[in-house]
Amino acid sequence: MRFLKNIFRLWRFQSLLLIVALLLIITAWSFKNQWAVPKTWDIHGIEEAHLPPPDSTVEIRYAPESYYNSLPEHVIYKTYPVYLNEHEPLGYIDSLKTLEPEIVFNPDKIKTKEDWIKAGELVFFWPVDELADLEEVRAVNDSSFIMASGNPITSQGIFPFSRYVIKEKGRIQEGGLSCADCHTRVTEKGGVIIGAQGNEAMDRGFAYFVEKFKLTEASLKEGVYRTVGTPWAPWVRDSVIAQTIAQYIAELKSRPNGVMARQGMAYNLPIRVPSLIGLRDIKYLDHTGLMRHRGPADLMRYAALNQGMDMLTSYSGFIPMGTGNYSGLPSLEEWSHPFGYVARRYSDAQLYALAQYIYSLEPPENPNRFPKEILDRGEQIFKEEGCITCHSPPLYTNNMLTPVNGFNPPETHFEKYDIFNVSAETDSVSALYSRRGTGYYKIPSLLGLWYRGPFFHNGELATLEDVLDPARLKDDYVPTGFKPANMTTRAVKGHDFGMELSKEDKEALIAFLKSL
Amino acid sequence: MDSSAISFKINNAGIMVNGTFDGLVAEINFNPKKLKRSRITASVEAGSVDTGIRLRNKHLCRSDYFNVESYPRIRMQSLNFQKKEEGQFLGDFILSLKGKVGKVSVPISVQKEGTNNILSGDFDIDRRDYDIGGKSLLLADEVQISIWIRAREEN
Repeated sequence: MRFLKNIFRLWRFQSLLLIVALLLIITAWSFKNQWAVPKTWDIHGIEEAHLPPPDSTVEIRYAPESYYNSLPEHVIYKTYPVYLNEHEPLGYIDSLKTLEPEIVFNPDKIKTKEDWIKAGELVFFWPVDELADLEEVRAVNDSSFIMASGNPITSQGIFPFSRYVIKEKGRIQEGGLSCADCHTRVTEKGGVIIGAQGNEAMDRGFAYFVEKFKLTEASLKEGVYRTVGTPWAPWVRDSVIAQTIAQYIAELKSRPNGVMARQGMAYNLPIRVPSLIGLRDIKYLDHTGLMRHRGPADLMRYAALNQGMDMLTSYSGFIPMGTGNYSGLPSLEEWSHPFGYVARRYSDAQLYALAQYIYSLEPPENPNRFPKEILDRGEQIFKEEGCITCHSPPLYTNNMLTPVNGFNPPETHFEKYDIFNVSAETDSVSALYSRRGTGYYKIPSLLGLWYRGPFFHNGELATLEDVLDPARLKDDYVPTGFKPANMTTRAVKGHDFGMELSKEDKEALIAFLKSL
Repeated sequence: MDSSAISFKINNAGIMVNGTFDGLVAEINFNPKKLKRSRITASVEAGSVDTGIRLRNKHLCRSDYFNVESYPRIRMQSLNFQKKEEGQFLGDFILSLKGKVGKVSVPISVQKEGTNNILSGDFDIDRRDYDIGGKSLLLADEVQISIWIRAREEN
């Protein structure tokens, strides 16, 4: 009996041990998997998320995994603000010269969600272009550049779109093309909204450099063609070749803050910079809904593509950054991105952190105060005019895609994507004749309109008042936002809602929109 | 037939949206004294839908709403009539809308106006029964339809 009792005790003890061990394993496993970092360059995953071009005969191939993996990863150092020369605190550069280089992104130290967000902030601000030495930067980083380009600076005299980097002690370099470069907005009072529709005068800044440093026509044309070349719009090549350098500079200068060139855009048709605030709830990325957004993995892939890799996608054999007549993948030495992105990639952990940071972005406090009766009237009009159907609360978008004029969605798309099957009849060129084209535009969220602008996909309209102005539908209209340099007037057509409202009703509607 | 108004109302996000259809073609053989022999067939042009917002009208013509390309007309055909009281009848109709067929009962009022008769009636349908628009948090399922027809009396 006693023997049996001992066995029973032992058995109970062992069971207990087993349960404890199991619990420990489960806890450890779940902890480890709490931050399971998705694999960025998963070709199947990219294909799943990516919408096809409007021309269904075009074959898309992404750079192979082996190529992606062969790129060295970004090493992220601590960065420092760039002041205009006139505003630089006394001894600032000397103090930077005494600092040791400091690698700040270290995935091993990330434990909590807050750690991921903080690490993501580092990625967001990390310059990924070819760094310039301090002397080159200081030669242009002054008020004459700001005046000529129309760039904003902060109330402290900081040019917030670039950062100083110290990779070796005593050597200060400046870099840009970080996420923050395009997605930072300087307010009228000189404050900064991170993640908003940025307002750097990127293209006018570039025009300044083209003129100042007399860049050659051949290199510019090569860069422009790599940026806008679209195999299913073969006339683009002839247009790029025919354009003179003076015309090109005029085009660059025609682009207002918040509208800029992006690789894959349509010829001479820059894109309004999107706001990233609230992106976590948005189901499609890019104006054209180029990629589905179902979670961090999609956003990571989108970021990897946008920050270099989409130039290596093959569009029926045309590789925008390809060697040998745009057909081969460049070696690291041959890598030549028209905007100056270096031949590196983000690590999966960096991109995951970036996604967590972008998801954490919150809107600034809305300073607008409108009387309740005006807001109520505005909301009523918002419903009566049918705005609410596409711009449905709480996100003020129904998260759907609208086909543009000239595109009939194939039947298969209705099951695969979220399609609101009517065109808003806005300019369809970006959605049809660019590498980012899908045949659709995403219905944008109206949240945070008060700190955004210019509006419409190509930023043609400076204010909400302009959006509701019926004069814009006529050919003699002078767009208040982006207008191609070779045009004096241009109708801004489409999305002709709320055009006939009374002055009071328009004001109420705009007040409501600015309260969102 | 002299003039007509075919309209509908639907609640969208707490607001009543009013719409109309044009292009009514109707054959009305309605005799209150010979209800068994009475027949009404009528149809409107689906693509004439007008809610006062141009792009919304365009959207309503697409496949997720009326799909006017495949189903250009909305038809009603009477099955039978009952007299309720003087000038008040109840008619059962077959409604053919977007390739779906449903039975609707319409209270019809008939009023004399000189040599004309005015026939009017209101009824409700569930738009989902006819595959009009999908699931929606904003758009109600119930649609109120009003028909008003002034017809010349012919002997």
